[in-house]
Amino acid sequence: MTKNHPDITCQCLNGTDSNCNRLKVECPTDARPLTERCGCGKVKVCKISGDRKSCARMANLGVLPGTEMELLCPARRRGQGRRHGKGHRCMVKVNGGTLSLDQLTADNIFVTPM
Amino acid sequence: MRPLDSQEKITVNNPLHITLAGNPNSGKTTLFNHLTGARQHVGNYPGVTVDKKEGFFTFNTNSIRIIDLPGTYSLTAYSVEELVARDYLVNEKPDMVIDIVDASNLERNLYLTTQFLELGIPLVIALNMVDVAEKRGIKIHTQKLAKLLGVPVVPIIARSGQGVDELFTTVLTASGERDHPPTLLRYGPDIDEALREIIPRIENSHLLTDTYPARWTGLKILENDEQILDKAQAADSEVTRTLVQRSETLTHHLQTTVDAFPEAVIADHRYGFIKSILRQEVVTRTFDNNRLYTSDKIDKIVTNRIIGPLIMAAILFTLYSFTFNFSTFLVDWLASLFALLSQTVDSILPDGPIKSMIISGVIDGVGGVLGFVPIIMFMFFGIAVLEDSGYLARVAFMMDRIFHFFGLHGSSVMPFIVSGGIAGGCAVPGVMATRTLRSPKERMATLLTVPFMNCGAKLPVLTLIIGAFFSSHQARYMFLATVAAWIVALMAAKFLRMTVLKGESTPFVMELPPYRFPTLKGLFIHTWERTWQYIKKAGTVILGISILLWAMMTYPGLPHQEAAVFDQMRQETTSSQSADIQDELAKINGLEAEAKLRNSLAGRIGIALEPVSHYAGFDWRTNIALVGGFAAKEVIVSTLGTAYSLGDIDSQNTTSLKDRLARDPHWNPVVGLSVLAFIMFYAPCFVTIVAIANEAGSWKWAFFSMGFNTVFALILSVAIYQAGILLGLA
Repeated sequence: MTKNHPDITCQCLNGTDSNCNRLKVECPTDARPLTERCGCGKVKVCKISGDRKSCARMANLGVLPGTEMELLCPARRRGQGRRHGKGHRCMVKVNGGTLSLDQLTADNIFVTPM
Repeated sequence: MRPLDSQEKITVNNPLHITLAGNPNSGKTTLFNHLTGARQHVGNYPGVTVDKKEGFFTFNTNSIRIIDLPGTYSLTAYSVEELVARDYLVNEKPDMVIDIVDASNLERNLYLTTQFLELGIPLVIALNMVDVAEKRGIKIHTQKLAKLLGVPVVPIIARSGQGVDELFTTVLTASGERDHPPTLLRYGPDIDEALREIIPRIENSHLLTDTYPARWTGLKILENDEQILDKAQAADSEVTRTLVQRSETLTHHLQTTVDAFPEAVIADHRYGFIKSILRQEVVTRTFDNNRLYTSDKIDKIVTNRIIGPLIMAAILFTLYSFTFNFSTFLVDWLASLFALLSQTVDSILPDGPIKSMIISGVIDGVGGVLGFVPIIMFMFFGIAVLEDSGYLARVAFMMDRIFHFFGLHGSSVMPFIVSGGIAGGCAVPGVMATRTLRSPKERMATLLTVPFMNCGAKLPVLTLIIGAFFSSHQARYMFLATVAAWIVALMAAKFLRMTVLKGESTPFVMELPPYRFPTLKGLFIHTWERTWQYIKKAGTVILGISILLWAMMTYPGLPHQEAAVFDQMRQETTSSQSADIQDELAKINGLEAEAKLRNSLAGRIGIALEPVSHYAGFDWRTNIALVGGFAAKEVIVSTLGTAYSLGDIDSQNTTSLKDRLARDPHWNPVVGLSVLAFIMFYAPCFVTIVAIANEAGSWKWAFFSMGFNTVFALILSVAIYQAGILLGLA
């Protein structure tokens, strides 16, 4: 803690907030890559896979295990097979911004429905 | 507050050095324009401000030098923009950094702020778009936010300039304070422990401490930041080795315990820090946090799989109609202006090489290129509307699937459209527009294939040849030419991505800016900046090459004996009692021009190329025109006119040349199609080549583009011509 903001009572700063340990989020069995989610709606990120750089990029954009996001434009529609989503981007709303994710990235984001 | 003129800029000593930094689309460039009135691009396309922009202005008698940094989400080393921003802040050490934070998207924007605080740079936060936030029911308590962050926060509306005076009053006050210690965030017990171990080692060995705070260097080493690791390695390899070892131990521990890399844990704690601040009554929301805003609702319609492409086609068609319908009168006016200029020079100067050079080299060459300025200007205005409103990012989103198949990105669509995807663009700004692409291979593939599009300069040539041989289906053939350009460009991109630019697609994440009404000032600045780039090219490089090509097509002149023959023919005609004496003289002049051209350096090149080009059905005259087309494609028409003894041909009025080609025994529909294919796809004009070399950072790619395109075009033309002969169509 610095003299810049001595009155901050941020739990994260003293390491006691359970939110700070949200990277430990367990992935339930119904967790699926974002590309496989059909229809719009809210989802919760439970795991980010992929190489180190991609993980770091997503972390910088606030896409971390435990993050809630809204799927605005899914890669495939309800009732369609896996191949239909192939190559499609999906659009999500996260931390107040709207992100367009390519298939490669979305495949590495495992989410559960909320 | 007013911009400084150039004289004042020189006389002002030690102006206050201020830098604008922030996320893409946070309004940095809008504020920069408001302050400096500079010709600066304002856009909604993510990452559009790649270059550093500089301006000067005065505020309350203080002269200020202001820099607009590229928009970034963080200060990592993952993109060029981030590296540029980070290096500038660290190396140039501005007196004050204004962090532009979008008030309607506070959590995301404050992430960059936390990294500025970690770096310990002098900071003032400009809380922009507070009006948009209020409309969304978000109220931000700036005093509380300032207190918790430890830096001044000033609410502003950059579009209208509201709050900007207060911002600069605060900046001037804060710039007097010299002590800006880095903020020490906590990143959890594992990372904090690692930092506690490595910071003393960095301090004791003075590893990069003259540039970066020791804690920041330690953090970057734990984050596996390639740039900092390279610098540290170069400065002290032994210490760096021990630091990297500690970092690897930490990484292994975090991987096994929380299945995450240190940088993800660090980012998580930064977001935790932001959340903890925002929770302390900094933000109050009137509406439900989860409600969809107008922008999201529009997205649900315009990016719909069925309706979306239809809307996109309608919008692009409107852009095309707008560009061509509204620019026609200006194009005609400019053509008349250059014709008048030629006539004036013709009447003032005596006959000779100087007059010929000024008319054929300077006025025709530069005029031919400047003639497209109105089209370029209107097209860029239309694109600026799409870009600044946020729609262009949605076009990239929708087009990504198709482009992805060909090894490109959805973002490639803009360079393709600008280059002539909707016939009539220009490859030069198209090549420059590839800067918006962040992944190098996709960018290079786009850069090399956009010249295949039908730019505005190719249109008169296409009109001429289609009009001469396929006049009954002119519209259909023009449409087919556009479709063919797209198919060839995409196939070529696929080929390049499978060969010289082989490699996996780069993951591509793009933030879609919310829909906004563009400001008229922003649109005009945006349009003018790009148009000016085009005009500058015409005035400099094109002028030089036009003169060179004029010389190639003029020298060496006809031998005296041959020239004397034409003089004698003219004398005989003049002394004869023939009724159509003027027609006879024009015919002789035409024959002389043809003979001169044949004898010129360009003519000799054309003749030398004939053994190869005849397989595609091109004779020496066509070859000269194609060589001339390297200067600018519209030169092909005027050169064909000269080569076919018609004297000077206006590219806008080609009736006589069209008839001549249609009647010429060397030409037929098969040759027409072969020439058409070659012109559409052979080497880009030299201005585009220069642009490719600049953008690719190497002349190697510029020469590759010339060679690859020409070989491809020749193979295609030979195939068309030979197939036509085999089928008995020639």
